Amino acid sequence: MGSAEATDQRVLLVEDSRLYAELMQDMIGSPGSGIDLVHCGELWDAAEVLLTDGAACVLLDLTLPDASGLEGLKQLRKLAPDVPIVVLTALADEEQAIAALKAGAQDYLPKERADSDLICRSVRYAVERAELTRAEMALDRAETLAGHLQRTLLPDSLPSIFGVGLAARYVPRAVGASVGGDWYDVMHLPDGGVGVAIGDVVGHGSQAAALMGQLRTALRAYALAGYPPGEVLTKTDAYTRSLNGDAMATALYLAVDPEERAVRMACAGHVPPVVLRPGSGASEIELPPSSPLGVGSPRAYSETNIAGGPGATLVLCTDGLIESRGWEIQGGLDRLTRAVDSGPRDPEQLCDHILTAVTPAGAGEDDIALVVMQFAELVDNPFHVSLPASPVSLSELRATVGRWLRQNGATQTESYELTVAVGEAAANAIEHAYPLGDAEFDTRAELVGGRVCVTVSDRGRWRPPRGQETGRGLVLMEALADELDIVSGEHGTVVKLYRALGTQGT
Amino acid sequence: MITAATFTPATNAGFLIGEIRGEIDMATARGLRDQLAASVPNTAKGVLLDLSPVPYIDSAGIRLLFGLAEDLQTRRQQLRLVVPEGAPIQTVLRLVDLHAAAPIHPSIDEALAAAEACILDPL
Repeated sequence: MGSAEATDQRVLLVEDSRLYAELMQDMIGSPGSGIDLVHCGELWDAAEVLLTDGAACVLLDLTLPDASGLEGLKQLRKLAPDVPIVVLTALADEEQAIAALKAGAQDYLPKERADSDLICRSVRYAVERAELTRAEMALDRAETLAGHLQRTLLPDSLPSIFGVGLAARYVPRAVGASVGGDWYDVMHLPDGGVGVAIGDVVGHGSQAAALMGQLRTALRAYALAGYPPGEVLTKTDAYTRSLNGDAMATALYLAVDPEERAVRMACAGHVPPVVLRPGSGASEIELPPSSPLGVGSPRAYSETNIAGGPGATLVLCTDGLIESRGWEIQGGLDRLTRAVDSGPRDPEQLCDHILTAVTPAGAGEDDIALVVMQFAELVDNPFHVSLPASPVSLSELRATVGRWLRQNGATQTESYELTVAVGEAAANAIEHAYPLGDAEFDTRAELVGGRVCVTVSDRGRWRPPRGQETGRGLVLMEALADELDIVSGEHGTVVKLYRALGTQGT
Repeated sequence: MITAATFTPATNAGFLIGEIRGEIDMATARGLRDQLAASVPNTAKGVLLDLSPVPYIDSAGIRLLFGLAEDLQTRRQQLRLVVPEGAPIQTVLRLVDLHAAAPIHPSIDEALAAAEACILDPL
């Protein structure tokens, strides 16, 4: 045993008969055999060796002084579940051998018949199979991890944006069961607009998923800093180049103005969007040729502006939707255009329709990201929005209410003053009516006969204003609305603000 | 968007001149209050705050300004605000009588002149 080579596989023989152990040593453990045979007479010793030195395989006699029958097998399996065990049985005891297999043994060998070849082959086979299982399990874990990573990196819900309907889908690739690097993102921009991004990192697996996360974050950061679309991609391209390795991705970024219903976009080698305007057919938006992020020499990406108009729909996708083996990308784009033309209007339903109608027959080789964005019809009246009961919701609500009021003919002053009043009602809902925890409050606005009614409701309890401090919000609401109505009950508080448009307020 | 105050490094005739930029609401008022509290030295005769670049203020912002005026008052420091004619936040400031706690001027120059006059000729 002292002659073991570093590359030898340690095989642990658990056998109480010294005679048989010596025989085994001669048969399979001789120098140069590739096996370093370690002998233990008792289960107890074997456990210790397994825990301290480990083993590639265990040869286990089922009749031991300190463990009889399958007991020893079960204990060793528990101790080292990854180490394969081959049991040595008496020829007459086939029944016990089968029970051993059921209890997790890799193989069984009748002692009387086992020769050097048979034992070696059985050991090698057991070791290889255990390694394969380990590799499969590692792969499984990696897949789960990458899939989890990708899901974490994609938005779990889209922001609610007044004036823009949004729906999105991500379909992981089915073939090869490895995650891809597709992403989409939607965010509020500092100028009151909406940023929509979609992209596709070249490659698959956890590395692509991680790179996707980096690029999505970088693009989002540049968009939130207020850069115009071309600049956002130029900067994201520079960022991509700063990363180690051969990072490469295609991306499309849109800065959407919900009020003007206009879109500014920049493209980095990505599939062009398809637009559908009411009264005309769907068509692919023509964009100047561009290269993916991180490829070739650094460049400035150009911007393309399009007018959307009321009710216009834009469809953004990754090539997994329209391209697959045997299908031309143009054929896929044509099918997408037809599907958008014939599909339902509602963005959620349109997403489902597109996935069913367009996905090529051989699909599943690539993942798919899909975003449908739709401008509201001219007058979206009444409107309703639910927002988290958090102070950060206030600016979003103000922007939304202000836009709605101006669309419905409110003057700048009327819009501003009513927005202040609604902001106070919402601040009350957020500040007073909620215990800690996740909660939402609702805002509804309606224009009836030249009179605006905005309702802010929560599901908490109204706390009467305490002192001058909180009283100021009430002062503002009373002064800036024609009529103020606060109804507080068991299930929440409803604040209604009324104001006639076209008359001078304060 | 980030709402923040910036101050010119040197005082002008002993007055600290600053500017607040951004919307002041429940979400931004607390950070702004901490920033303002840390920015005003005991030695300044007072603070002139330009609110021209503030497009929106709500009751949380009003509370902040009342509080700041009160804090400075106990240190015998003046607080004067600058809000140009026709600024959108004027209506709100008027409705809550903010000028009772801190005089409101249409420009920095006028605010500074009034502040100096007040030192020379205390009420």
